[in-house]
Amino acid sequence: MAEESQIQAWVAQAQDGDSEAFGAIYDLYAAKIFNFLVGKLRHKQTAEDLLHTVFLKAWENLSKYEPRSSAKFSTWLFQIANFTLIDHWRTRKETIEIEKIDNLLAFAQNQKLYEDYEFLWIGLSELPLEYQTVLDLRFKQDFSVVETAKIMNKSQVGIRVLQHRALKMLKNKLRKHGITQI
Amino acid sequence: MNLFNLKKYDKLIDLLKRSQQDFGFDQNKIKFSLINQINSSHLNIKQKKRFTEIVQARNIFAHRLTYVFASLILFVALGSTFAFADGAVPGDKLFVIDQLQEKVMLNLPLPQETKAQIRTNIVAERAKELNKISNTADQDEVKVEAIETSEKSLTTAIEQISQNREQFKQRGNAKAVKNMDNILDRLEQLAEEQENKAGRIHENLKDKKLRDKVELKLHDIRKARLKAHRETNNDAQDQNEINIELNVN
Repeated sequence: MAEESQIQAWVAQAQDGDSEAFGAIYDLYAAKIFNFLVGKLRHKQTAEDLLHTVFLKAWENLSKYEPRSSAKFSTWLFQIANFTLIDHWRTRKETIEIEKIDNLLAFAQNQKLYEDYEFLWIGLSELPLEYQTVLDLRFKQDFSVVETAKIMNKSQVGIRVLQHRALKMLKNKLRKHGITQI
Repeated sequence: MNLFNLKKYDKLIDLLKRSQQDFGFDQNKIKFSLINQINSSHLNIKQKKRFTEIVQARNIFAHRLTYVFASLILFVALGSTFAFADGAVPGDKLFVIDQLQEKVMLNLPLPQETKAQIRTNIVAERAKELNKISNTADQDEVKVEAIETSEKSLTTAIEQISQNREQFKQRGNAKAVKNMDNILDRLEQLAEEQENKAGRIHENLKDKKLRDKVELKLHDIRKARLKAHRETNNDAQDQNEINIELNVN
């Protein structure tokens, strides 16, 4: 992973219209953003479309980005990804057609790993979007409480409450599926 | 609920971390499409920014240039009226801007003859507005305000130009005196038009207070008209004769 100073340098160049620098930023974050999206959407094509949308929005709003010592660029980018996901989520039907759900196993980089933890993925998919998001950001993407609060536009206390509730609900879901050793 | 103690969820959190993995997708295809879209948009950020800067700078410069030169050229050389706050008449919100700009114009370091022409054009503008209001305005108060405004511009112009004429005369500048005479002729005509228009408005006013007000303004307009006439004709009429004429009217 590139140093934050290098990332900020690319950002500054991209703000000046350098599409190559923006390409470097894309290369750095595309996989992370895709994983964030596909884990909830559970549909590869939709996740790819939203990935494109996220980076396009990032490009269009780069002029509004101001570097801060207390926040990384990834926080800003994930904020856009989260809002894009929420916007799309609102357009989803209550009942998703079967063809709109992919088996993530099909394109997992490590299929064995996926199979080992498939119960967890199923449990997660049964949580409300907000709960899935906070667990993903906090424990998979490894963002801090402060960063997660920024991404989700909540207070730090709000994030702590949310993650508590999410973990509790996930545990209960897993227990219903017979997973009790957690 | 202890929000800071996640101990009872340690195992679950560990599972979440260990389950994290990447999912395959066509990263390069999306990048290609994205960069193409960025590059092919009409203006990328850098060009857009530069374009915006150029447009802003041009607009500021053009505005200033237009204000200084166009208003002078139009107003003085062509003798036409202000392009500012087009259509604004006494009573409109924009009319205040009109008056402000006229004031600014008159405060510019311009030759007296040029300013005299500007004043005449202002009077002509007021006459035009008075004509418009007398035909279109519903409220009598608006009509009376228009009379007051036009009278003020007329009186001020004649007073100032008469002083200028006197100064030029004392300096022996015959050409400038002649120019002032021409301007005063024009002002006399405008005064006559104002008087006629104000008279017609006066006839149709129902409110006594407004009628009295207009009568006073009519008196002032006649006085100004006669002053302009006296100056240009270099009459030997003394002040008493002028007063007699005013009293008869």
